[in-house]
Amino acid sequence: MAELLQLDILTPDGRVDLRLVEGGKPGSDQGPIEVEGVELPAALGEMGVRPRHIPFLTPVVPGVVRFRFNGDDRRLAVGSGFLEVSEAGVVTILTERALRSWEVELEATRSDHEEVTRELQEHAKASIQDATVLELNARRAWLDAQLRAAQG
Amino acid sequence: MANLKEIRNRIGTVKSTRKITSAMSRIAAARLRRAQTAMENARQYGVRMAAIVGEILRELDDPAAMHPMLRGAGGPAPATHLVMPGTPTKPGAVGFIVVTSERGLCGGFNSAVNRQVQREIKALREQGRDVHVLTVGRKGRAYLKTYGQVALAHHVAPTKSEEVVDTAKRVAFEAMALFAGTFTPEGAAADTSDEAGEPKPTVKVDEVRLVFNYFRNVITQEVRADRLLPVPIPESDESGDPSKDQAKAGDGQPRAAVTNAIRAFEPDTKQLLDHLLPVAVETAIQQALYNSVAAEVAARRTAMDSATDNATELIGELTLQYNRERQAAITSELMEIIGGAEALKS
Repeated sequence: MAELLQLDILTPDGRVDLRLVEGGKPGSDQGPIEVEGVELPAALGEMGVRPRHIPFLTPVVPGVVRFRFNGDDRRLAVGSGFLEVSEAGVVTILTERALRSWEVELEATRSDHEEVTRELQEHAKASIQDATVLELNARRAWLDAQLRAAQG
Repeated sequence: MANLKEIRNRIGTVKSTRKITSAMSRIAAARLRRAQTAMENARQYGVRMAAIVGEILRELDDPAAMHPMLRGAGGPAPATHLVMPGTPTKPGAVGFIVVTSERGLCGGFNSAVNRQVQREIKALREQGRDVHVLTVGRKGRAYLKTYGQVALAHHVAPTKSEEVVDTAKRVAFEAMALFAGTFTPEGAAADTSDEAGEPKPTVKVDEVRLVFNYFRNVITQEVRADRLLPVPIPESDESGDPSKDQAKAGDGQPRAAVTNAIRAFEPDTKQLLDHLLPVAVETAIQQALYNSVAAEVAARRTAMDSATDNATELIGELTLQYNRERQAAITSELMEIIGGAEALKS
């Protein structure tokens, strides 16, 4: 068995139960899971973490976290936050929100995405620092992440 | 007899009041568990976030120079900051975020916060400093309005945990705008935006404080007034936080030791701070809201519990009085009858 790392995703709603399978019932909090590696959207681009990574800290941007657990490829949409790799080899993703791929409401997300994109086009001439544009961009990034998580 | 009827009516009134208070207490008890779980879950996230923020901030040599949101955090603030033209504010203004509830009947929950804010505002006004207020929850806004402090922006206090995240985001955005001097009060924006060339009046503060009820446990809530901006730099790892961390580490996970170990980070410090500090502010507000929600429910339960007890006691007393009066009435009637009979006999 290859070396494993511990993966933990924390949101303001608590720890995300990564053991949960589609259609399963949420169990009690059992702490981090052990995986061979994890891919996630860091501020400087997609990155992968494997066991024995150096202690590390970097911002996470909205996107998709991928890992393999119990022979299953899992995907989660995450919002912005942080990745922390501790000396003990625990990989913690602190994020404002997270959704499992099957929890995404595809239809609603798609129509929201279209709507936000349309609104952004209306603001195409506004400054990139404009508060509305910033907010719309943030919303679109989160919707994008959900769509990508749901569609693989 | 009028007096008897009065007492009977009063007993009826107190009984229906007791029905209400006991129902409210039960509802609060049912909500308490949910609010408490939500808060504890959030605390886990908040503690980790605070640890990361602390770790990075402590390693900065000159925090004030590194990022505008740290300006004034350690030592005196540099005097040169860009002030938008038309800014009516003198330097040294302070902003408050006042977190209260939407509804009353929760004991000293709201008044404790309000009193604390009033005290601080009074002290600041005496120093000649301007005060601006953002409120979350109707009670705080109403109180401060009578005190002559109109809120720049107002938010409805969240009651569900899904609302907390969104509200925290909006409040954080406003707080940061206020601190950066780009905040445009709601009313003013509409008035002046038509006049081309006229800069919108903005409000700027040099400090933002967050006042809320901290949920210590089910029976104790305490008012906290924390500095939100500039982002405070925690003293050191070993001082207070580890104990809190340890308490949370009881879930058996091998805790990532919060040490001063040199850690690689990416991208550079400046960009990391750009991302980190807004999140830190948002998390602090989030934590305050979660605490406030749980504390409100707990305070309401305690208050309604004791109101129910008081009502029961009052009903007991009134019933006793009612019975005594009734007996007295019966006795006097008997006396009259006997007296009448005696009079007829003789």
